[in-house]
Amino acid sequence: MPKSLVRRILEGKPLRQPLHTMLVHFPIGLFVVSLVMDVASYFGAGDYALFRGSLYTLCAGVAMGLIAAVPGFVDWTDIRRDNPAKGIGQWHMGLNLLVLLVYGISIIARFSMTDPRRVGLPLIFTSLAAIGLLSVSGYLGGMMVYDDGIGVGRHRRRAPAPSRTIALPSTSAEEGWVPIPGAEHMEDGQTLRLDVGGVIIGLARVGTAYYAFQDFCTHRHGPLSEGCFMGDQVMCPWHGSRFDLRTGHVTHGPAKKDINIYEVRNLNGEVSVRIPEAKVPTTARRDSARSGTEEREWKVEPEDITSPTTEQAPRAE
Amino acid sequence: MRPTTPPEFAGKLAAMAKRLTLKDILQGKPLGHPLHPLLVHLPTALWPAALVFDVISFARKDGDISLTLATWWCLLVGLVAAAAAVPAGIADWTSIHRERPAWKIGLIHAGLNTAVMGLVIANFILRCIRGPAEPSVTVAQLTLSIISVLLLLPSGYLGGLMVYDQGIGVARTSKDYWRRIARAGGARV
Ligand code: FES
Repeated sequence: MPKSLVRRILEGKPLRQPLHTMLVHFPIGLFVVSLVMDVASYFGAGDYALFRGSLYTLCAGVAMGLIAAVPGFVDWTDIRRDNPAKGIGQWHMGLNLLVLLVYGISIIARFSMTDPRRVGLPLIFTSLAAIGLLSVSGYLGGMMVYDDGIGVGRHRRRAPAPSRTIALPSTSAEEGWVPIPGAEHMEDGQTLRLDVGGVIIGLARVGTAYYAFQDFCTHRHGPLSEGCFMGDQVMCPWHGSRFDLRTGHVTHGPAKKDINIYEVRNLNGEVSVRIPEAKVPTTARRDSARSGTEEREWKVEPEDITSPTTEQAPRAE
Repeated sequence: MRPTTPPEFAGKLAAMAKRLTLKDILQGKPLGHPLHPLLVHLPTALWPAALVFDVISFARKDGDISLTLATWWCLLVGLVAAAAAVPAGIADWTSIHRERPAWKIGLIHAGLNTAVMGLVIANFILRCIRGPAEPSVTVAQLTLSIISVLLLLPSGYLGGLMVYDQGIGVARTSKDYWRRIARAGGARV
């Protein structure tokens, strides 16, 4: 099987939702019920069956946790390096491995008990601590989804999300055009996330056309560079707002405001974008003023700019 | 919830506490994490696990009462969490605009879950009548377990679609954080 197909499956793209989040129900639920059974066996009359039942749920929980770790790790590798979720994901992973380790030790301790009728307080408190860690870790996992939108709308895209934000100084610009190194090698549907002198823009290649646009959706500011490109439209990964990449107009809600778009030109394979001076945040503007960059009327020849493709019709509702 | 500076966070909390409605609490706004997806971990995991224990117990027929007992506890803990997840889910659903596809998905999700809840309650009552620790499951109990899981899986799948395909609950509490970043990045917000 090709590597990219394995990756697609582990990311749950055919299912339109991540595999990891479907699997994590199991360790969470099973560990909780095991603690409940432990407490019941502690207060009960000493019940061998309850002890065994709790042990079964623990073993199943650890097994499912190990399985869930695989797609979870693949999901993590997909997160852009400067996204806050990247760091959260590291904590999430570390805590989860710790929880699995604690339960692994707990299982060994249970198997080696001489009178396996009732778990003692040490094991109950171990489980309690592990559930505490698991709650923190689960909360962090939830943050990645509900705060940073990791995995949301990802299946609508074939190309991987940009792995980092490429910083380019706008002050090195010649006539306001900032060349994008490597953009000529971009594949159809691929995107870059650029920081041009403080302005965060997405650059997409659709067919033979290049589009530059503000990377933030105007609804809840989802990353458009991780969106889905259909002809001359981009669809936000989070709630599906659509924007026309030639004009920046909203073509489909929930967003109400238009996005900024930026001029792109392709001169014999050298792709550059131009950020209007007014759009550059004030700190960056001051720097360029000091370096003596002056504004000049710049006329672009029509053939310099790639024409937007119309091959792909926007997807119907 | 995104970390902010301590005074800002305290101010947010104070402002929130003043105007906190029941719906906000059910949606998990004070927690900074939607409540419904958090609670449904338990029934989603435990009812299929109960089915697995049932199947093993039915197939082995060696009278290992720890399996039937594990099923009983899985059903019970799942029911408690599911009962709490219902109002949270309804609160989330009422915030969805009617014209969005997620509205209808949510309706089907709720319908399936109601059916599953009914089956699991029936299953649980059957087990309580016979006593939680029986040597093996009956065909009726096993059938109830199978049907409830067969309905639960598509329902959970639809719930997942609402989040990962429709973005329900995504960036609900973090939108101010992202707006600040967007504005600093020269974007129109
Ligand atoms: S953030 Fe883009 S549609 Fe909501």
